Amino acid sequence: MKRHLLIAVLLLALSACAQYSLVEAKKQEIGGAYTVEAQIAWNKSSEGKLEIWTVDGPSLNAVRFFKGLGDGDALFKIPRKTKEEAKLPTYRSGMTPNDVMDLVADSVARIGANDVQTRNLRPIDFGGNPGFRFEVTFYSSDGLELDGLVAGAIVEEKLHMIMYTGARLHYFPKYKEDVERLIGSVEMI
Amino acid sequence: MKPARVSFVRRAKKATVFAAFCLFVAGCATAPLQDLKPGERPALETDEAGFWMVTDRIEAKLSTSGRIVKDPKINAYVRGIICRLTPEHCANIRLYVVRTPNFNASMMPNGAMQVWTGAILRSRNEAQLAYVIGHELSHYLRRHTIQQWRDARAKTDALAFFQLATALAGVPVVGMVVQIATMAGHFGFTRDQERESDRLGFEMMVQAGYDPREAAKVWEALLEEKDASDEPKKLIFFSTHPASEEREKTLAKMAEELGDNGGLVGKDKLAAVTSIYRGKWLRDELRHRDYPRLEVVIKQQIESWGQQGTLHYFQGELYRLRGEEEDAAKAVAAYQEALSTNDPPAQTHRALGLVYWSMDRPAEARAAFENYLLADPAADDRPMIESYIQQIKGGVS
Repeated sequence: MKRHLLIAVLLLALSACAQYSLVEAKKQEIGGAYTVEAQIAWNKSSEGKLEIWTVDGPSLNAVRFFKGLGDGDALFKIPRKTKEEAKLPTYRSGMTPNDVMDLVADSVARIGANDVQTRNLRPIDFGGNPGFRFEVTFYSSDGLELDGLVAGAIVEEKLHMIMYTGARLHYFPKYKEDVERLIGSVEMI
Repeated sequence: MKPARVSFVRRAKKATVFAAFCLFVAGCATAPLQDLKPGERPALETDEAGFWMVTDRIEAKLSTSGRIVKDPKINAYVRGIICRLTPEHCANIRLYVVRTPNFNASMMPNGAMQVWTGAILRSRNEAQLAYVIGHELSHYLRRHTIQQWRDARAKTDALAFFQLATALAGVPVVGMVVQIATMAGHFGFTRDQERESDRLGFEMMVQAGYDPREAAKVWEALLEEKDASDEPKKLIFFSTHPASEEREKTLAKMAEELGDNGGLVGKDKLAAVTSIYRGKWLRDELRHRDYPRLEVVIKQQIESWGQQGTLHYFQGELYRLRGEEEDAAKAVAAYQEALSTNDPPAQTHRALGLVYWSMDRPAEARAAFENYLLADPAADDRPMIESYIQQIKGGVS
């Protein structure tokens, strides 16, 4: 029995690099910050504190949910090997949507994207709050062209944001409408 | 008889250590290689062919990377410099202009050359870029990689023999000392190769009709940038090209000996091809937010290219994004400097508006946002900027 348990634990540890769970097509709560209405089923995983949903694998399409980032928080985590992590730009309270757009573009560049470009920043309603949305394009380090759509709002000085990225060819357009509906369905908790 | 035997063992020990040491000291460097001939490929059975095979694979991966700059104009321009420096080898060199915000250029032993956009951005004229390229070409033409490999192997062989001999003679500690010496020898050799490439790169640029005085200025500017950086290791060029004032001085002395040869500096020539990219490449640099270094780079750019709107705009961007104490005021000053030129980017108005807004100066912020929409009526973020103006009008700051 003990041996079986040990093997089970070892197997779990070995497969721990990417654990996915099913997200059903219904109302979902994002870390106690807000809810969204999923129209299709997704696979849920995590990158540090970040919740990430995908259908075909995160390098082909991924929705990242940022919830309540505060002063000094970075968007992503990179292994703390060098001083690099300290160089990741951080959110500061008082940022405008333009500043957030720079924050996203610079963060994506810092984790290896190339030729990052942003466009079409505009105001939207995000869960009943004055929010923003914009588009981003970049190349992965392997040369894959990616498109992205970012929407969010700063509520009580905390940044809430949904970021959808996918390969420009096929994978981004494939779920864009579903993500648009996700963004439209946000309700703050 | 006993004392005689001891004496023999002692003498034998001494002789072995001495012989092995001589072998180590004298026997490590392999015969210098002939320079690579145009179109030459190493014979398949050689270790050099192995190096080429490995670098062919690395090159194949590089060629499909997302960082390759495909613009034919830039590629033709940099290739033109290579061909001017080495007409006979030009056809056998594959050039990859790589979009990376850092000073670097390198050459693989198989003839694949990388020139990073960060190196083009920092070159203040064609002669400087030619020196950097000439330096890298020298590593390739002198076959430095394979020379280093063979020397390293020879040293390791000598070391193995020496350790065996000294262990047999009962002096194992010496092995460790030699190991350290061997490593030190490796680094020394690399520096020798660097010196050789400095000299050859310099000779190539002179031969090709460039102004030799520009070579030392490359190092001068890089050293200034390195000194400012809070993370000098990030200057990748220095990890393979140890920077020193000595190198700068040697190059300056060589140029002084030659005097003014009336060679090409090529400032306008470089600017004609690269100036449209300056904003893009500075944005790449800025995205990495290594502010102290970038402050130096922008200062050097302003010194070199004059009071351009784009350069002052990015100076302002640096301060706006860094957001440390007094940076808002510095950003405002830089944006205003940009706006006083005849070619400020329209975004300068928007950036100025954002900074004023953060400084709680809503009237000036609103005016700047309105100026932005006047300067760029088709701005794709117009709805957002209009919403800012409405918020300011409504008294929300």
